[in-house]
Amino acid sequence: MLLQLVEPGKTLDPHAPPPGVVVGIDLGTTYSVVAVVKEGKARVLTFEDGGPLIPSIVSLIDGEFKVGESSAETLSSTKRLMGKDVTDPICSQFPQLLEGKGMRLSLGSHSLTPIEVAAHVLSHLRCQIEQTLELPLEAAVITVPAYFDEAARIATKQAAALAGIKILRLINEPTAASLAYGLETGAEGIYAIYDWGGGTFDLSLLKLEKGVFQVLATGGDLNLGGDDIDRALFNAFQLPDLRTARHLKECLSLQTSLEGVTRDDLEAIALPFVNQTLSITQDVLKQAKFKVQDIKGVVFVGGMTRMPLVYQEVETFFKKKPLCDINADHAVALGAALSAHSLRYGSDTLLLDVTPLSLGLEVMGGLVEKIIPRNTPLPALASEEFTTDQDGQGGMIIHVVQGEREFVEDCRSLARFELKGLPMLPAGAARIRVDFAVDAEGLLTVSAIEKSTGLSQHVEVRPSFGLDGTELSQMIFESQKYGREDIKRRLEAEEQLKETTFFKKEYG
Amino acid sequence: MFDPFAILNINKTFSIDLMMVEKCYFEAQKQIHPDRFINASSDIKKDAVQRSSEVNKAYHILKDPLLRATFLLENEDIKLLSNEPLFLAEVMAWNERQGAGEDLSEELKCEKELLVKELAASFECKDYERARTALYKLTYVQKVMKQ
Amino acid sequence: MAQPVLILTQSAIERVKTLLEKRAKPSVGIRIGVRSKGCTGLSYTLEFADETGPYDEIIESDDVKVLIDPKAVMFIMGSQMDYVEDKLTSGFVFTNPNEKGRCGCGESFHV
Repeated sequence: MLLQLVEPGKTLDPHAPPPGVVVGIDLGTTYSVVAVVKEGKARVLTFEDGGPLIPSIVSLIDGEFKVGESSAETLSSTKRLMGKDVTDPICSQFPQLLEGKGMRLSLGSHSLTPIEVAAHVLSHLRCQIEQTLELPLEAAVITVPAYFDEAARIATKQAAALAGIKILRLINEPTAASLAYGLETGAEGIYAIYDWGGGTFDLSLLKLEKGVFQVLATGGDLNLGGDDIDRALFNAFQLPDLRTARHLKECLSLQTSLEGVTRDDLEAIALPFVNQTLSITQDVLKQAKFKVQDIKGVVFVGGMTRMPLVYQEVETFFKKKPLCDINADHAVALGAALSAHSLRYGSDTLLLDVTPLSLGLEVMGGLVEKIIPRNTPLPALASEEFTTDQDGQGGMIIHVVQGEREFVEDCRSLARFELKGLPMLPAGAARIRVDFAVDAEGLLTVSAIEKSTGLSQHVEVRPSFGLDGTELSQMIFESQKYGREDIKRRLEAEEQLKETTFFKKEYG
Repeated sequence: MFDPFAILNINKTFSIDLMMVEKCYFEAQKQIHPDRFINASSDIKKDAVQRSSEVNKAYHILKDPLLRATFLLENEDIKLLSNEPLFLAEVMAWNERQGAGEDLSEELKCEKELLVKELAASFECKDYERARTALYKLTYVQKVMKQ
Repeated sequence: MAQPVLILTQSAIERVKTLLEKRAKPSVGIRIGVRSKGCTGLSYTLEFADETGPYDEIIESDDVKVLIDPKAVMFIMGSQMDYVEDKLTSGFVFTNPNEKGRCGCGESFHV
């Protein structure tokens, strides 16, 4: 232990945690933004090399990974691939994807997973934060789209772990924005957060009341972002590249024509996308049993909300002017910073969020039995009892899925494990209880217990916690790819990973 | 037994003030939500998840008249009605009209309000037989409403 | 000649001089104290000194005035104060013949 010469009375307590800073990070599809609470107020950080908007773009220059705009070959918008499977339609938008190598994108002589790309962005942010604030980064709240599924949330946690950032908590982007808006304006009542960014659209309905931010319902589309409009524009006008398309789209929000393309042309292309966001909005209102007139205000978040057409259509839909009091690019990071500060130092503010997607199990006939329906307040525990359908059935496959569809094949497979060594009983006599637990961050733990006789076996699978390193992410992706044929290999792999999976046998 | 009234510290009656329930719910969550224990040991965190989810469940039951009445009847060891022929003709008529494209939302909403009032009145005078019948009807009305 | 209370190595003297020059305020010197905190009881403090305390033990070494808190004298007796620097960290370190144990993290000691 080395001592430093300090001002009188400023010697720190030994064993006191090192003085650090907690921040909020909006890890966006197009840009990432960092905010911090200083003297009770959240502010976005401007860094020496730019910001507050740091492009979420990674390039390889002279053998070193760089973050930011670059004329060299780059990887961008890879947030859209977080937690995705190589069979996802979104993959067709990424020509850099290497064939037959799982989810890996080529960049120069290297190849990176979307998690590694995010980790490079995060580690760049971390350096910038530490240089700018001259303090070590203690921990961060990182935001994710509300509609991110389990796999995408885990992927985000892994990226942070790779970047050496301790996560206080993941929070949903619209929830973070509502925190920034609510604390800034003191608004109370039912608010809709309309959050449309480069990659995703989220709509959350919240009740704001005296420091409580209660999410009532949420909905969205992970494959509906400004990027999709850029792509449509790029195709319609045979533009040289997507960057040009995005620039054109942005400029046409401020002026009515540019380089032979008019705002009307853009709006004709954008309208179907805007309508999709409104149909999601309608669905969320219906889910929460609210009518348009029950909504006190619509808060605009995300770069897409700067498009005049979006303002106009949303105004028509809600019959009121959208609220643009807070900067649409900064709101999420500001809210994340407020959340980080209140988690670290304590406060009266409380965030009550919900599950964006239903969680269930595969039952007979490839059907899904929902155990925790979407929009259930978090944390949530639920259990369901199952039985065997054959005499002397020795095992049972527990297949955990996420999604709204009726059939397993249309839902996202999260985990699959076998409950072995069931007692020899006639069909229907065994009693297997499966417990689901979703924590405040939206991460799931599943366990199964056979309890018909004195013999009990307990299997617990935590697809989420303690994972780090790309090998693990790779394992998740691969198991999802080969799930059906390769349960055994996955089980073996899981057995080795005590942190993520543990088997306990209790005989009594 | 899981008792949502005890968890949220609300008097065990059918007619409750929903604003009050919400207030108690927020208060309870402010105390025990896992976010309050972010730096605590994993046992304490686990306990917070457990208790906080019980508070969520209790709130879910109490704010819904159907679930609230079901709990109160089960709490009195009253068996719920099932497969009773009564009321089925009405339900079938609604289904038919709805199938023909008629919008029944207003009519069903009125019916639901009447049944909730009926539930309140029957719990008031501890007439559980009456409450049981009203609950049975309410279950069907909600089912038709969902379709 | 009696053994001095504390010996400063040349690198410690140089570093203290530099730090005293860099400090915005004029200083009397530096002060060494002990505090009864940490997992095995005691830890040193090392601060700039704005004035001399009435019972401070004073040693002067190559124009550097080191004040030792009377409570610290018995612990520090016969120690050497050194300054070390490598790629990652730098700081002062006391090597104390009186020390009997250090805590796991090396932040405190007992005698």
